[in-house]
Amino acid sequence: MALRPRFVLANLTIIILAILATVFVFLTLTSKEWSVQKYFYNPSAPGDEFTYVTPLCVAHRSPFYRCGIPTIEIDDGTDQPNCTIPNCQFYRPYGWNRTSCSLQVETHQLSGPTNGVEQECQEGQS
Amino acid sequence: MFITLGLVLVLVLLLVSFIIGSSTGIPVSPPKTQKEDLPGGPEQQRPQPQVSRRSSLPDVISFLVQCSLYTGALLQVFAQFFGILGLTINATPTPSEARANSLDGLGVSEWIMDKALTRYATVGWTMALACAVATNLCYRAPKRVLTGS
Repeated sequence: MALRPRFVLANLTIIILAILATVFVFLTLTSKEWSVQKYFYNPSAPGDEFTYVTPLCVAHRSPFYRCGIPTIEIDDGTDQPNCTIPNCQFYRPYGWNRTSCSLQVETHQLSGPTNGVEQECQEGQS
Repeated sequence: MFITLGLVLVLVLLLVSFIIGSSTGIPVSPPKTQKEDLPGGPEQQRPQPQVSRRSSLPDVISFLVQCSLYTGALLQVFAQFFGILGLTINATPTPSEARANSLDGLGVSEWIMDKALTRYATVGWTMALACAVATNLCYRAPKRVLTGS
């Protein structure tokens, strides 16, 4: 039977909306940029936040992605700070000592790249 | 956990939406052949009212789609809320931890929300809700809408 235009339009709208929703949910899950922490370098006034103009480096965080604590080295030649953030990687969403937020019981370390407190891990898991 | 459930439900609804798109070709006019026979009597063609002979498959699918969409959107909102808590307020390394382990001149900001938690996730559940409302509107009065009368 012939498809009426209103019928086609209605179903097309529904399908397009569904595709958009799925695409954005997929983008959300695979993105590492859920939250961000910026690191600045100002040796003269380190605690004064009005000097935080341009970040030296940024660390992202997501339920599946985690970075370690940054290290800053001053390059001897140019006297410029180099910021390196170690251990930035994606982790699995489940599994003992495989997630991005693991308790000390799981990692058997006092501090490590995936160590987190129980409150943080519970909320991140949700 | 909520996040993954929300995604799975949205994917389910996408598949089901495709099925709806193809299955609403089911004719709504009365069928020519009847299944019921009068006991002991000759078969007669009887005009049946459209409501009782129309297949209920689009109704069921529409109900499933709406359920999964609403649930998915709700779970996504929960996931965003807990994500904010767990990834900004309680996130490790905290600024003081980062400062303690590095050079003296390091300035560290607090954890703040970024693109995925604000824009992508919000667009995701907004589209899911819009899709649920559209499905509801389109399949609420099927005879009038689909036959165009």
